[in-house]
Parts: sequence; structure tokens; C-alpha cells
Amino acid sequence: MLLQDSNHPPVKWRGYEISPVAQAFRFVPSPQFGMIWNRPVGIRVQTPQSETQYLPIYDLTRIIQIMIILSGLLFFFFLKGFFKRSKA
Amino acid sequence: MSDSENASQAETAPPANEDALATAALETIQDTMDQFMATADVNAVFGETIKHQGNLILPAAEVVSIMGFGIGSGSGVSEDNKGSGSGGGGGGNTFARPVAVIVANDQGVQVKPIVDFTKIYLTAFTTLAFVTSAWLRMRRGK
Repeated sequence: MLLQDSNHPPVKWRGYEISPVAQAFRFVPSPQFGMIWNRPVGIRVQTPQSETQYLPIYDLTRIIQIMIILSGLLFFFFLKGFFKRSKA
Repeated sequence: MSDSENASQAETAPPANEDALATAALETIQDTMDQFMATADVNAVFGETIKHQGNLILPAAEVVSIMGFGIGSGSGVSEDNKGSGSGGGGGGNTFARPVAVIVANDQGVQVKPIVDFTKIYLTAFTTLAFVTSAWLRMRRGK
């Protein structure tokens, strides 16, 4: 199992230098099986004024999915507790 | 060990050429696996830059690659027959999903997220179905 950050070659555009950063999760338990999960993490931007800033990339779809599942689970446990109390 | 036991072991052991075939197959699998590992790198995450109407667009995607192989060989003897065989199989897939686009223009550099509403609706409906079925079961007292 390996988690590593890697940098894409920088892209230059009108004085800006954009360096994308990706993160790779490698899971190779045996020579016969492997899984690689690559995701974008953010970009490093160097402005024409030589200021460097980092802009993170959020996976909004995944964040919303996790929020929906967590709220569903929370509601399920609330219902479970409510029915347990009403039975007692 | 008796002679008959030795003869039986010699009959059940796979032939030497099958071992060579298995080794060759494993090497091919290893080569394919190495190529697969090299393909799934950072260049797969960030696509080619697009220049459009004074904007520079850089797409970013999440890429998941899964691959697996397996081989096996064996032999057997009965009173009338003896035989051996080997086989193998493998499969893999790569999934890619757009996550964001990076837009650079005169106003600066911005990261614009991409929202996949189909996935969100599917998650919402699945969660709703789970909670509803759980609620109905609890109401019935099961």
C-alpha cells in the first residue's frame, strides 16, 4: 500500500505558472493483482507578481454523496432509538 | 519410499514443459502489470490543456484502475487415465470521472468543481430506500 504525491509538469499561461498536484494510492498485494486510485489534489499557482498560492481541488460529488449517506445513517439510528424507547 | 509410490509421484507431477509455460505466462502477466502501473500516473489525472477564447482550461479527473490475473495448473491420475492441464485468466478496468476544471484567464486562476448529479440522485434514492425500509420494518416490530 502506497500513497504518493506527484506533480504534473507546470503549464505557463500569460505570466501564470500552474503546477497541478495529484495523489496516487497504490494497492498491489501480489504480482497478480493491483489497484491504483489517482485523484487531483490541488494546483500551485505562481502569479506574474511572483506570488505563490495553492488552490485545493475538492471532489464536490463525493462530498455530497458522503453527506447524504451519513445523514441517512444518522436518521436510521435516530429512528432505531425512537422505536426502542416507544416500545419500552 | 517404494517404487510404486515414486512412480505415482512422477505421474501426478506436471510435465516440465508445463512449468515452462506457466513461467512464461507469469512473466507476461508481470509485464502487463508493470505497463498497467506505469499508465496510471499523474498524466492520467490532468488532461490536455485547452485554449478557448482567451481562457486556458485544464480538466482534472479521478482515475481508478483495477487489474487482476490468475493462473493454475494441475494433473491427476486414475486407474485408466492420467492427465494434466493448466489455465489462466485475467481482467481489469479503468474508471475515470471528471472532478474539476481549472480555468485561467485575465481574472486569474480558478478551480471550478464538476458535480455529477446522476451519482448524487442515485445515492439519495438508495439512502432513502434504505431508511424507508428500515422504518417500515421497525413499525411492524421486526
